[in-house]
Amino acid sequence: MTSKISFAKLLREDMKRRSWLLALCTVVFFLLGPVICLMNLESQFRRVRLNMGQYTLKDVKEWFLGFVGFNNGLLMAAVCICAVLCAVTGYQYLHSRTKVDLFHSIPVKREKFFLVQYVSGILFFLIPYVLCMVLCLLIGAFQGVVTARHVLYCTGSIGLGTLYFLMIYHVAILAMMLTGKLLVGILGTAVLCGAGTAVSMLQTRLFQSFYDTYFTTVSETGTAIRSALSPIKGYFYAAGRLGTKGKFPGVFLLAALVITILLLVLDLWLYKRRASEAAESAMAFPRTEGIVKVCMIVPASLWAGLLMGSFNTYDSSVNIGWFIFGVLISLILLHTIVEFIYHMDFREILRRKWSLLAAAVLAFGCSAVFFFDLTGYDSYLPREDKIDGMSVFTSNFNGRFSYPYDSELSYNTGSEQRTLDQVNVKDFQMIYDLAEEGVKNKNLRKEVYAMEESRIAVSRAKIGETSSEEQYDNVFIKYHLKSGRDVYRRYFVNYESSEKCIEQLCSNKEYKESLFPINYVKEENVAKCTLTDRYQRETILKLTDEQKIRLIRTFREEQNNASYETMTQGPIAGVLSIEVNEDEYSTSMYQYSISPGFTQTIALLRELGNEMDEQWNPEYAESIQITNYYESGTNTPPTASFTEKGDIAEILGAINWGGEYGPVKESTDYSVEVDVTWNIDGARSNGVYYFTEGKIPECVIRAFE
Amino acid sequence: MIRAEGIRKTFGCRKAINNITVTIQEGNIFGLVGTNGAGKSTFLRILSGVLKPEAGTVTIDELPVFENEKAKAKICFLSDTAYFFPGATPKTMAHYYGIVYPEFDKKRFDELLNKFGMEQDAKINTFSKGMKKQVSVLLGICTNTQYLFCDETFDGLDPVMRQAVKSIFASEILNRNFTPVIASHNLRELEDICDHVGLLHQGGILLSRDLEDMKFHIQKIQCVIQNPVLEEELLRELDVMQHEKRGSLLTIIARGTKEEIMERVESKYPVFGEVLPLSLEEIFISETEVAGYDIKNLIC
Repeated sequence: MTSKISFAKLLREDMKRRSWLLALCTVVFFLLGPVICLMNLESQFRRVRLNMGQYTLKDVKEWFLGFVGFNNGLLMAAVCICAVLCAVTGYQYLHSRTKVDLFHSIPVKREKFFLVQYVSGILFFLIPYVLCMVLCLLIGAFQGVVTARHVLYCTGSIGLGTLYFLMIYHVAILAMMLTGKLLVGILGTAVLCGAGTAVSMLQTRLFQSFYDTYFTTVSETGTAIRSALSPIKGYFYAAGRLGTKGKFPGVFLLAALVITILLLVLDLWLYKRRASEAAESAMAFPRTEGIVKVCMIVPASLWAGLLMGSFNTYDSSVNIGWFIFGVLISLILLHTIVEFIYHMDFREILRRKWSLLAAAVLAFGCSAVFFFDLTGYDSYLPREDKIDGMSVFTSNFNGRFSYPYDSELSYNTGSEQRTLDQVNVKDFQMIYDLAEEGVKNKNLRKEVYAMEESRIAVSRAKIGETSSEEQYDNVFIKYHLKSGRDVYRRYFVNYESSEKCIEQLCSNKEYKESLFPINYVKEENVAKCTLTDRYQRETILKLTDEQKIRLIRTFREEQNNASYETMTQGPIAGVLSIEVNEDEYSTSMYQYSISPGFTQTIALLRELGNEMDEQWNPEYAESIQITNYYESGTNTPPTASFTEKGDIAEILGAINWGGEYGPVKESTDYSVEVDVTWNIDGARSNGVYYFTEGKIPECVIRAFE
Repeated sequence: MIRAEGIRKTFGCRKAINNITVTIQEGNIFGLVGTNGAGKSTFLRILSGVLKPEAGTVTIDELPVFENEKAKAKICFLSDTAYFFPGATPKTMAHYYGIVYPEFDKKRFDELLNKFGMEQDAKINTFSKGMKKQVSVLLGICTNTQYLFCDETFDGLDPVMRQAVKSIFASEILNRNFTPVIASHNLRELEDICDHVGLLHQGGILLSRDLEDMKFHIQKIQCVIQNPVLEEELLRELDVMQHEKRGSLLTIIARGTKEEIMERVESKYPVFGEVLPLSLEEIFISETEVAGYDIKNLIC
């Protein structure tokens, strides 16, 4: 009975002493909660009243759902800061000798003392946080925007906030246990919260810098693991998933709960082992000094090396000389700084040379693994019998396809990976041959780029010249192994090889059906169709639902049955843009290029009242202005204008669309821009086009000589 | 009774306490004397359960101290630099002490505070160093614990306050079971209050003796013996700890009772002979010189 009373009394005393923290948390949560809620609701309803952007009550409710649910970044940031404050103020007594003398001499068990600080810290957060969230709900209910879903989301948000408050709280307590000075404790908290993410990003950066065949891919599991490495990032990741319909991260949250509990156990264990005399020493456990230092300075020095090494490179590669210099200098600097923080004595820096040596061995050892590719990353080529299927992406052909954004993953995923994940070719020999060539060429990319750089340095590239880069192509390949693992690589191959591979794949109907995005569109969800013709004039097609369906099906059928030649025939006749209703709240836009060989689609568009020229009509070109960026340097680039019919016809015969609608079989020369002024039935418009590499008309070359 | 056996404590490479064994009896005022860095504060912190020794045991009334609420309830530790909560007043500190020490006498605290001329509601952070010490001592006394560990508590108090505190201690000892342990580097301070004194040096106890016993059995004599042979004889017959001759005046510090020593002196037909008062400092210096330590320079 006496113990219980003592605990409650001690708790009350601590809360009285730290009442300023309760006041601060209350003010912050009140401002970020109910006050901002009221202000925003006022603004939202004003938009509804004024019907700005067709804003309705439904939109207000949707906004409010995010506010009380999982889309309130400010409030989440406040939770994180609150957790750190509660931990630091609760346990900073361990960093003061005078406080330790008092608190460890009184007849109260240290575990009880730990618990008092622990519980009071949680109460300082929980009371104002829950009250303010409930207040927000009440405000919303009063304004008529609350439904059962809002209550559910709000409850979930409180639960998630509490879970991650506890996780960050435990991490900060851990930092306070491991250190003996307040500033070092705060720095330690920052390191513990961010180290995982920093190391994960370092790994990616090292791969990008040293492995020629690496390209960044994203996976659900990878994203989840990376997010779990930092409590703050994990919090925002979990909130993002919970805020996305149908994406409940059950396993992630369970793992977060387990980690939170384990952290608490670790905190308690360290607390029991922590000597009182550790107060006012930088590290509470002297034996951890070396390990902590090495763990910090090794990744930090590798980062410094990467930054210095990539300073003057134009791609993700590193200059190895500067990299080594950067690693070395930062190892010495960081060792000095950390040892000074530990001991406040420069003489100690020289005495701790063994840990510096260990850090150097680790840093340079790690660098050597990447530089010499000791793991054989770039040489990776699985045996064919281990492969279930493969897919390939080339910018020229695949870059023109965009896929449904049906998940956050695909939103964050590069177009290469999205395509690779969409397709799995079982009869993959042609892709495997391409991969083999890529593995043989593993050092070729750097050589070609270096050659290109020196060619430009010796004689600046001129209009009409072809560079050696354009003879090669970057292809992205995915191996889907029988074990279930997916392996992604980027290869530098001969342009003809990649084209031959794609051509062979395009004779496979199953491949085309899994590749072409039009096969993923539900025609009944198509809201709007827009046509951009070859003159780059945009027209919203006025179609009935039946006409929309017919158009989609015709295009789909034609594309699935088209040969590679037909599909890559250039220049394209136009672009069909489709707006699709993904769900109740979101729409997506997809663009499909219409090849001049898609005769049925073109005929249907004509039938629906949209004229589409299969070739350029020189009569429509009023004038052409060409800008030559080869000669620009720091000056305004020179331009040339053409109005002669002969020149115009010659130029029109050589131009093509740019970007993903450019030619597939050849490279586009983006250093020469062709601006055509069209005059079609009195209506003027402009279109921007480009020439194919090495196929610039003579009249243009003459104009710039 | 406080019993410390074989206590060892190291901080990094430095041995702060090296194999201390000492017994502190109830009802005595124990003085722990030593130079700066001798290990007094460390030893008191170990006795209070703040620090855990690497070796040895510390028991208070047969109860081990470290992380033992029952044992700690019998002690109150007054650190050399006391901690007060930010913005605290004597009243709020008393309230806190009342929670952690159930026997805390709030009424007595108020009376003593009044006697010492301090206000209950004044902010402690506005007090001088001496006043803060006073508050600390009063809080310690009013906890009514059996043992009170004072780490250089008297240092920083003015002479009047020192006397006041000493008389409070004396009164406490008379009225209840109270055993203060006072650490100080000032022998003169401890001389008039302590019953038992222990000398700490470089982490070890050099000696631990009852003060009266020491004074009863060690005497300082000044005499003049004209006959050098008889003088030599006297020095041989007495258990001399230290002697010094200036001109014909011989000063001897020897073990033995006053009567025994004077009898010997008288037998040598001195021209002059008398017993002089001996300070604690002189006793210590003599004892430690016998032990082979020259600590004249160590004790202030």
